[in-house]
Amino acid sequence: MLIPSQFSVLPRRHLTPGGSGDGAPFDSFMSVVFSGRAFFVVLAALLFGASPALVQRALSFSVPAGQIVGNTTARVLFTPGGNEQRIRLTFAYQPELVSYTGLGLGSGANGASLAVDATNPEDGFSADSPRASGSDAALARHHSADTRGATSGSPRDGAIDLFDLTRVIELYNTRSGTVRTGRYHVQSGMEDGFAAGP
Amino acid sequence: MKSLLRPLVASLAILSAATAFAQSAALSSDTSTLAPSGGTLVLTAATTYDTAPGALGWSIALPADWTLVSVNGPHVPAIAPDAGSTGTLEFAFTQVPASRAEFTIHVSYPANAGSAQATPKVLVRTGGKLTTLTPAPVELRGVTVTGQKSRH
Repeated sequence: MLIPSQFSVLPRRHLTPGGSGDGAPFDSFMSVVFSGRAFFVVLAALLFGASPALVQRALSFSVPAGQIVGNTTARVLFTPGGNEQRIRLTFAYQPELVSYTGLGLGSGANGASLAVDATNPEDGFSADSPRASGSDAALARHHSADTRGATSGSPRDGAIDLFDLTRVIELYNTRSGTVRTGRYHVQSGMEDGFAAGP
Repeated sequence: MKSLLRPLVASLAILSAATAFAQSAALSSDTSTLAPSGGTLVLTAATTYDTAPGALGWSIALPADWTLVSVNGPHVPAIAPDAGSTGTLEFAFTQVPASRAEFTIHVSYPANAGSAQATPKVLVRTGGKLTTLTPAPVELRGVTVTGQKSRH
């Protein structure tokens, strides 16, 4: 197991919905930068045949538990960083389903717009600047609660609106008799691929 | 005879299905006329149903320059916009009341407001099915200055 004593999570890159913003490149994944001793540890692991995915799995012990998708393909970038060498390990990780209920709803006509946020330890998203509800957002991946259009074929809009929110609440309210269980299971043909109940 | 019964059976089946998930929604106002000096009014949003749905959401599109003052009523939605919100207001019940959900919103409107309407939409989720109800908008008569038509 790697213990990257010197690593940092990259700050959020600026998202540029609709082409506006500062023009900085958009990084849709969570990134961890290794420098100093950790750089050599990771480099050695890679040179001796450890796959980025293996390094990623090792990292899962250091990054908040349950956040990393185990089978996600990791991208490794070697980047010069001033006087030291750095490795940027980039990977996607699992967003939680019920993270944004109630966030910003109704504040104007925009609902809660989301942006990928590498620094958010919970699900990797944060609230974004307002944009028109129903408009597509330039996100490389979307929050799992952002289900509008998932079955209709229309693009997801990068916003949690009433449509998405009520779907999550419906699953939350799954009951067994008088006990709320919130359980769900995989089921095809549903708008989000899930159905209430065990 | 069989051909005569078939439409009847089909009609009963449709009626039965509609009755099993009967639900309705209405938006009403405590006034139909807007004061020239501006003011506040109360909109009442009510939903009735036979079986409590798994989720219930309301959106109410306010006219421009109208502002939410407060949310009240017997069943205040757990998720509601803050006072001062404008545009389309969205509400959701995390625990849907049995048989009926009713709440009121106080909204303020500016002086010399023209005729306007508040347009509701209701999302009802039951058993994995989404039903969208579109109650009639609330029509509000605006300021009419003598010799002029009301502004729209």
